[in-house]
Amino acid sequence: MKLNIEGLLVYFPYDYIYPEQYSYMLELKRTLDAKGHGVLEMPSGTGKTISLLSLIVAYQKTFPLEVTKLIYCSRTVPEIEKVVEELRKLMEFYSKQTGESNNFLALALSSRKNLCIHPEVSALRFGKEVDGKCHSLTASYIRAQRHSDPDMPVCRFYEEFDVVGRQVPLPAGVYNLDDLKDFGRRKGWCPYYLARYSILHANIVVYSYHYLLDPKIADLVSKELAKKSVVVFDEAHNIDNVCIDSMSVNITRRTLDRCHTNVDTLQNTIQKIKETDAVKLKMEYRRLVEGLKEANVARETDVYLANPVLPDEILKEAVPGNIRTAEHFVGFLKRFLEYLKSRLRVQHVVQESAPQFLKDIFDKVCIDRKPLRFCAERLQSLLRTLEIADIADFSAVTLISNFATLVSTYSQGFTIIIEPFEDRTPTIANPVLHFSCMDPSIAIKPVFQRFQSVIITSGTLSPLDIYPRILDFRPVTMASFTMTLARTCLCPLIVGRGNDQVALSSKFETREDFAVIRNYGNLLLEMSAIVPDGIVAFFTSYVYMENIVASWYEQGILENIQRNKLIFIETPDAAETSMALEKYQEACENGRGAILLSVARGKVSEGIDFVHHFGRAVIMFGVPYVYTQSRILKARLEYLRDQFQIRENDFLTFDAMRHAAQCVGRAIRGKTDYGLMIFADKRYARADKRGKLPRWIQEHINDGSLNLTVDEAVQLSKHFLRQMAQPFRQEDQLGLSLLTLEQLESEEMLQKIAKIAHQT
Amino acid sequence: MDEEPERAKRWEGGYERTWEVLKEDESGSLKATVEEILFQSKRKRVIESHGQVRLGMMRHLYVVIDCSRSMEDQDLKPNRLTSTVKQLLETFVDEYFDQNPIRNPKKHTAALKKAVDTVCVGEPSIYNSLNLAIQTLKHMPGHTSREILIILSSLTTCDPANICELIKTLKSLKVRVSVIGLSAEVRVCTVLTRETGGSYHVILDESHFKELLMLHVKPPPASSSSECSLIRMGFPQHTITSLTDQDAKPSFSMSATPSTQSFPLSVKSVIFTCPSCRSVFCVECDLFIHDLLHCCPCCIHSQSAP
Repeated sequence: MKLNIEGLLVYFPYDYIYPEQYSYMLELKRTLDAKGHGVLEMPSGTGKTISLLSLIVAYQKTFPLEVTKLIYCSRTVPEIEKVVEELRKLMEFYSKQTGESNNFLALALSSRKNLCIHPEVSALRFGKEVDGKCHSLTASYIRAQRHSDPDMPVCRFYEEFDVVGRQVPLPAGVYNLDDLKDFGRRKGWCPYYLARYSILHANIVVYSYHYLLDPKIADLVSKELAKKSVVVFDEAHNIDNVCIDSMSVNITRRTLDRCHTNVDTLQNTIQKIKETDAVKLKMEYRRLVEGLKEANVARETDVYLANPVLPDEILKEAVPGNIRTAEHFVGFLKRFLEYLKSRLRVQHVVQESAPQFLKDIFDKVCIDRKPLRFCAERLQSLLRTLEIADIADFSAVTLISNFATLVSTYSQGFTIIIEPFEDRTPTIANPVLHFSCMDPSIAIKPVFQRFQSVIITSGTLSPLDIYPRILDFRPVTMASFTMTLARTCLCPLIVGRGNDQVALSSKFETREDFAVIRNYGNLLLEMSAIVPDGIVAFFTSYVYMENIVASWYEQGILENIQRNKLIFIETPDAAETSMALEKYQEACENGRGAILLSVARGKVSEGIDFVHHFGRAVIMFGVPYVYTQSRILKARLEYLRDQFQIRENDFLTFDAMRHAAQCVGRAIRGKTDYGLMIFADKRYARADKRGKLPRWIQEHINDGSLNLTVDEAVQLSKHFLRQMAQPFRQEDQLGLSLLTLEQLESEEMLQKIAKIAHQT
Repeated sequence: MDEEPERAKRWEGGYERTWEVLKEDESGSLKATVEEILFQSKRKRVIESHGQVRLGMMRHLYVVIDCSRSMEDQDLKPNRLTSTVKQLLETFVDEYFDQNPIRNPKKHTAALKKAVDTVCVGEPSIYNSLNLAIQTLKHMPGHTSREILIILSSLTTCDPANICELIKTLKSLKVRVSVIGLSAEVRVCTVLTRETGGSYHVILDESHFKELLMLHVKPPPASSSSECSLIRMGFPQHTITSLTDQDAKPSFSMSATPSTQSFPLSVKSVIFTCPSCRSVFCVECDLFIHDLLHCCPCCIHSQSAP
């Protein structure tokens, strides 16, 4: 259908539209009009992706000069593929309606592992291996050497692409990863490099978060993307953690050992080159004297996306004298390495700030701040000069040099924590140096600064106002949308007491309490008898889950549960978990029924959807607070309090509730789906917890579903499940939660729609 | 579906508020409305039935009753098993043999009466019960229907083999499997009924249970592929003609005077005519006559049932 969104003609490739989609598009349009950033929350399964795509594509078509590119960031490869398929549908609809052939280029980009078509390289199992092998075939100096020595291995796809691929742009169309590979095979071009090259002139790019947020990758891939782009971060409820992870460095003894070997290799290579090709090193020296002027010019003329690892100041200066020659630099690295080794030899926990660390390193080994800042850049230059093929081997020394640059660049927002052992195993020495980023805004700042509009969206972003605060930006729109429903297909219940009136809670004091564990078991047992097919149960941590399950086993609860359903358990091992998932789905499929015991913040809670019968109920045992004794967390909380005036408790509750919402949201993936959401902890009934749940869940929690006993919850669930089992057809939804164009345009409906968006 | 503002208290959920539907007529009597309700429900069944389709006459129906642990649940009073057996005994068996009067219900009633005292333990297996039913059903002649009705209380099924294979077999044998669930929607039943062309319903309460059972009283539409040997019977034809047709003489009607002018159907163009004596019937009369006698009241005296 064709929609009129405040004067903008939007092609929408379906015959029916949800009211909230219309409302979402309105808000999005206003954000783009204002050329600002937006935070939008809309429940999963209400067609967020297609609304985003339809509106932004329409905007691009109508105002080709205002918005030139859409950068759509998603989290996983399957999600990326899903977005591309929606886009394909939209583009087909466009060409059918307008009769013109489509002149849009849209493509997905992923790692080499997913795009390589080289018969040997693509057979490798790990992403790192593929990257390394690819690099050893395609690096510029390897190819230069090949001129003199034609016997060296070669990637014919890259060569072919290099010769002709850049001259002819990729024909317009929608390409997912497989399409790119097919195209590459047909032409004999490397799909990865083709895609990386094509994103510069593509209208729509779909790729992973890391291509924009991780400074190491962003520098390679996304540096030259146009300023007039719209950036969308989908499923962005964890975006602050992604930012923090991309800027943090963990150094263990193994890293240092590997780094040591790296440095030795560097030294040997330098020695060799010195004997054969001294001119090369001299050239490099001269280049370094000149400074990083080029990069500086590019940044000032606004061509490049800034790299937070490469601060502005150092671009204006030349590399300091004491690390300019290759030998000096290697010597410098060695000294730095020895210093780090000595720091790891600690008996107790040390926590210090970046300036403290710098002072200490100056006192102990006389390393100044300035050369440290150039470390990352200097190493890159050296690796280029030495023509080392397999970059992957040098990840350790790259890590260390990044650390050196970061620690000397940012005096705020980072903390250094050295722990001699893990908390759980205090007897085994395993020293780790955490260089931990506490301020997610550092990594995302260049994105906000460079791009015209940045949209942060997800099914669970409540409370909305905290994201702009921790990411340090000013949105023009912040809105939360509810789900219009023809039948109440979600049933949140807060179970606060057992049948014996024992308060249920996962809080620290009652964690070992026998009565609580027994009542939790009882809840699961009762639910397993009345909920059909699949139940997903989430615990707050692996340790807690182990304790409880062991205790249930002793009490014979597990045995009783197994009469009703099979039990599967998520473990930290990815292979084991995916096996368990597969079997779980099989058991749901053939009627035996199954329970999946998993952990909030785990793989299952974030990435796996339990549609329809795969998840008829989600039980959240306890409030998933993050492990509060962690020193990294404590440092971050302190920082948040000092810098952003966010109280510890507020942040912890916010973090716990967004994970809880993520977990329970796994069960509802659309309007025809239905599921129970059981919050088994009495603390959920408190207003400060409940108020932080997304609006679309909150509005279904009424006073009658607070602080229930297990029996009451069972009665309510039984009733709910019977109601939901009644036949439900599309006609029942029409006019209420599903609209045709005429229904949408009626005055009454437009008024209703205005109420869906909840501005903050 | 979610509009149940009347359900004020949780414990009232199971009750029907019959008094709220009742209204007094002018004379203060309730009788008319009660009859109206009964009539409506009976009529609903007829109207909702498939339009003009051929129904299978010879039926072979297996009723499978779940006797697993969950049948002890007391959400139907006094418990699920007793309630189910009672429903079957009181209404279903009689109605069924009334509509499909080929065999004698005595044996079935006796079997059901015995079943009341069954001790419910363990888990059910849909696979085993279907397999058992197939053993007999597959020998039934092709022009008859092969049906299985499962009354399932449990939400799990412990099967010795993969049920998907069995569903394929059922499909190829043209066995219709229908399920009435007593607790919630189970995926495997949805698939099973969808694939075999049966129906799947979940009860809300006792009265809904009864209603759902009644759906299975009427014979299902015969599939066009089933082999058939037709016997000529005196069913009236459902035709869409106007009453100007001279041959069609209006017959008596139970509710209206038998004159053409006041005949209630004269305005409508949908009528029923008997193929042998060409008499016309209205919907209401037709309903009552054919439920029991299966032939036209005009012909019934002149000749033995056609």
